[in-house]
Amino acid sequence: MNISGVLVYARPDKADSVASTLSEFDGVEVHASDNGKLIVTIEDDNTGALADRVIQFQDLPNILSVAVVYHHDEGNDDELIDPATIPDCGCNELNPQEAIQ
Amino acid sequence: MKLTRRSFIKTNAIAATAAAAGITIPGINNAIAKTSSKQIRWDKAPCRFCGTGCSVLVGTKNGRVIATQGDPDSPVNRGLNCIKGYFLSKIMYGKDRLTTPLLRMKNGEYHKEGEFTAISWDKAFDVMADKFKQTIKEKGPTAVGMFGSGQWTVWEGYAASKLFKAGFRSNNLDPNARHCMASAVGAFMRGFGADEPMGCYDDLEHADVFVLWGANMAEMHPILWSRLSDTRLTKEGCEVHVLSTYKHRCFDLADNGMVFTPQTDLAIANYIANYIIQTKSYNKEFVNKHTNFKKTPTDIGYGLRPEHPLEKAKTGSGGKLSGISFEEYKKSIEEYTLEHASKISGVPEKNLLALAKVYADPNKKVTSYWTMGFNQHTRGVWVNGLVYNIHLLMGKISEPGNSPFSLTGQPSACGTAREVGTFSHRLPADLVVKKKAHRDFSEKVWQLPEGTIPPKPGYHAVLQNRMLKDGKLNAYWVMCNNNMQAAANMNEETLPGYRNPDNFIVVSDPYPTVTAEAADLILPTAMWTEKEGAYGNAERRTQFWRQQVSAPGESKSDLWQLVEFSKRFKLEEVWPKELIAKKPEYKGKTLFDVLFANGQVNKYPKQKITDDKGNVYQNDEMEHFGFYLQKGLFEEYRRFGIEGPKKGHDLGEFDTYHQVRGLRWPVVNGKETLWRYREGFDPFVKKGNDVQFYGFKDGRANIITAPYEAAAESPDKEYDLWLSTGRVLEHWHSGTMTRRVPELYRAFPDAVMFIHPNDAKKRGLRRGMVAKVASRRGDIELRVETRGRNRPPEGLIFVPWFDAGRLINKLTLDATDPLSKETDYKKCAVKVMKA
Amino acid sequence: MVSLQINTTRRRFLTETARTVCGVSLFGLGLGFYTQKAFSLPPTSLRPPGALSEKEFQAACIRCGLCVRGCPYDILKLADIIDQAATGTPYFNARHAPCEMCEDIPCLLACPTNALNKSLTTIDDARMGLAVLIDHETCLNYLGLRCDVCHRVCPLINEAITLEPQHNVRSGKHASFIPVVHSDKCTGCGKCEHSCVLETAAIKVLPAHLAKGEIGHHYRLGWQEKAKAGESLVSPDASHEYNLPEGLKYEHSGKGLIKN
Repeated sequence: MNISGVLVYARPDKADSVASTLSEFDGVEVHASDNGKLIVTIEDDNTGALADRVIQFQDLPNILSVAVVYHHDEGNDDELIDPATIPDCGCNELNPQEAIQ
Repeated sequence: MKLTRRSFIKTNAIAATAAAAGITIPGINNAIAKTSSKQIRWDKAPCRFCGTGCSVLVGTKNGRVIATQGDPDSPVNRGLNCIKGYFLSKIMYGKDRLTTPLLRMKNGEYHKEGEFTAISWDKAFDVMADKFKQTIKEKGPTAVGMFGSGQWTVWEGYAASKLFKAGFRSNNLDPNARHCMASAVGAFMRGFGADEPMGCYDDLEHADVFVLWGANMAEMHPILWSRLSDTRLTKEGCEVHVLSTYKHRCFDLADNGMVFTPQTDLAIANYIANYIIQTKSYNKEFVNKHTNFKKTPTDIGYGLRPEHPLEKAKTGSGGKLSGISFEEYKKSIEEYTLEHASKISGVPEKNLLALAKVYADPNKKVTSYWTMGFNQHTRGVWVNGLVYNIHLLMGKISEPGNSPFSLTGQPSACGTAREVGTFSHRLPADLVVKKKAHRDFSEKVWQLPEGTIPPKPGYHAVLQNRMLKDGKLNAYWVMCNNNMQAAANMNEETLPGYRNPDNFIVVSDPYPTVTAEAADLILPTAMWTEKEGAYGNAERRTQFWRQQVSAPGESKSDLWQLVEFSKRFKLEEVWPKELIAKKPEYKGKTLFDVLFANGQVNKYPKQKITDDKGNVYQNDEMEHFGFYLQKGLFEEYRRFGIEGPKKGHDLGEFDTYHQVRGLRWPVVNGKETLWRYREGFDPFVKKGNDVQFYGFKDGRANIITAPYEAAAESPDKEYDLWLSTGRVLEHWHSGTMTRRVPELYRAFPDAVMFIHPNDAKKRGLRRGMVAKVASRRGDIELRVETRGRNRPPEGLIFVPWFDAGRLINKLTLDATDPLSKETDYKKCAVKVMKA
Repeated sequence: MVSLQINTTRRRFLTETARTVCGVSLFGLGLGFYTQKAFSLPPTSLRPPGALSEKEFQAACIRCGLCVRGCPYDILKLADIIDQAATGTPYFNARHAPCEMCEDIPCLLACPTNALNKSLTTIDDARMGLAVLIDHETCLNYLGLRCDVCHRVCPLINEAITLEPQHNVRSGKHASFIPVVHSDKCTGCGKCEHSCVLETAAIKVLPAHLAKGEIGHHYRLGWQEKAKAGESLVSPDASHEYNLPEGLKYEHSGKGLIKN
């Protein structure tokens, strides 16, 4: 699971149309827009996709710059928030029949 | 909507990006905050670990316990937890949870030397029932038995008691509380005719002086210790006296810390009583009105096998009391002068005198605490009693702040093992199998023919292992404990017993413990909040919890296992014809029909379980059996306390307990009892009586004289050190749960040997080196620790027993108190050498 | 071919990102040197109020020095090449000179980018660091002396630093007043560290990520959760009743046994 927070600077007067263009990409969501600054997230399960998206964005019209601000990379997909991770204590290695010797 | 880690991270991504851009997105911080708390259902439960009985709130989401918090409304802990309690949410999720029954098999058949193979419950119970039936048929009911737990819920202990004592007609049922509280019980019964403390935790705020006799409360009862410490810090003139065979964390707070030679606590306690009498400080009116003087047989042996030289040498036996006069009592303890006590114990005279003075001061309220230092003692019943003697001589008992208080180790050693009476000689509510009136009453409540319950006490914990080894106990069920790691002298008794080819051993556990791995059949077991439960803590507080989550895989609660297994037995297979003939209507019925579908236990139909916020809870046992099993068992069990021959054991109604933070029994007309035997506080004390120890007919307590006698095994030339064993704060008992919490494992990963630096040096050992410890029974290797929390004196080492990889019970001696049958885990002789 | 394509795209991605992050001006200083100390702000160097998190701050700060000029007290410095902070970025050292917490936050207003975040409008909301009473052994208040200078100089006295009286076991008749810092209020201005009377300060302002622990996600503090919810999460008890002699009462959630 990859999730990135990307800051996109667009021409302020074209921000709305840029936002709708971006939203059409798979895994891309625009969360806020303020005076040409767009808060965008990119989700994908393949690391290469983030790079591809950023390059694509930079080539789009009316976009001045694209900056990756936040990047999260993780193997497990959609795991519940769960702190209970399990140790390997080695506490079960003992075989009592061997222990007697 | 299912809240996922994905959406949580996404929210963070948005927040970070917005922050970099200087944009505020309304509600984004709230959204982050909410992702971690939304949809958690909170409910209460007592902590799974020690006898303190802290309450926690359990947070459940998507069928999993994901968080806990100390319960701010609990009068015991007021929102606090120790570090074990802090990690409660992780104990059920060790990755090696057992999820299916496992039977040792070879070529598709059960085989004692076979490999553990996954099988169905049906098959497991088939094999198991066959073994039990065959054993009962061939050798009678005394060849089947069970080893249970002070960590069982109340109804699990009660169901086990019914199944074995009434169903199989075998009294070979004993709990691991035998290793823990049996000596305390023995002293309560001998001294007061009724089990469990007269005081409660409120003594922690009301006492002026605390005396710890063999209780390391700082580590073993951490939350009670913080209450005690606060009183010490805030109350003018408050003092703390600590007695132990080595320095531990309680000595930090001690005004008078005393390290004594093992076993000499007997002499110290007698010295204090002697001081009180010699200085004429005793409360004459109290002694005259409320006590009797008794003596107990002496030189009674050490509970070893009869052929042991020590047993052959003994001249006395048993604990039959005979009356003596005050003068005779006075004379019996005369030899325990200050000089004598100091010489034998190694404690300086001034320290002993300071201790004696606070007990003898009529204006100081004294609360004494003890745990395993007293109970795991070959004279455990005696030494418990010697402290009662001191309190009784002074009349410092049964009132706020004046309390001799036996602390409990396990979360329900009181509630289950003792109150339900899952010992080999007991029945619920302080009844015993020996007394006909008690059996008659139990049979009446259980609707059984007269003579169902056998009158002879069964095999106690240590005897069970010996009988397994000797081939006299052949079908054996171990539930909710880890006795292969706990029972002393594992090499010579426990392991040969379990692996004896004549025996079939069943172990029910959530995890593959040492005990489970030594079994023939392992049953995967639900734990803690995977079932509805009730525990009773050390201050007589009974606390309930609801089932919060499902158990993994095929795991079933102990209760389910006990009750479901009873369906496998037709009465004709376990009872003699003559007995069935007394109740012809039972012909052809199963043990389930007779014990559990008896119109009482199955009285409460299936219902929706909700709290007042409308949250709905599951109850897997109710779902399976079709009635509210826990409620039926509890309400039947309650009759023992209310209608039984021993008064003062009344419990409240089942439903009430789900609405309160526990109630301290006796609960009469909905009212809790804080201090027993004192007029006004205890509804069973008759008006005008002031104090009445109503456990005995004459309302008097017994002051029982008992001398100092040596330990079963003391250091000699070859085995030149004492070995004391015990726990550490981070781990619960054998570490089955706490060692599976990574943070707790990291905090105290492996057992070490605490040793005095001089003793280490003499043996060429330095801190951190691996050394060998050996007794006459076995040896293990441990790292040397000369610093840290425990500081033994020269001549003694301390080793904790939580570590399955370093089994200290290969070394310990299975000597017991001949009265309580409790093992002395604090004293045996060992030697230490370079590994 | 395919892999080559990916590599090319990757490189372009990395280059373009770097350009955005670093700003062209910095390339002259040598990228190796820069990256070595990137994101590693020494614990004694504090950023001006409103600074973004260190990583983001370094990306957004264009090293113009306007904030330093804006500071009326000459407290802010620009890191030069021998300083540990990234060269050209503003910082201050609390022991040397703490932030005076100007109400109008002139340094922040002077910032041309959003490196000092304009959403900070009240100086009390600034989080430049977090004060930590690091050394209990030399802190005079811990020793029972009545210093509490840190408490009294705190611009948010009794909010950011409170004094918690404890029984002084040694003297037996005095209270020790233990300074306790509250992270929800402390701005990290450094007044306490600056004024600590010891030769070396016992209280120090550290970057928040060094100063703060984090409680396990599997645990909640029961009393806080109760306060937040405004009621017990698990319904309050049915009333408890007790067997008691005349003249006594018992509070379930209060003092316990009380004489009337």
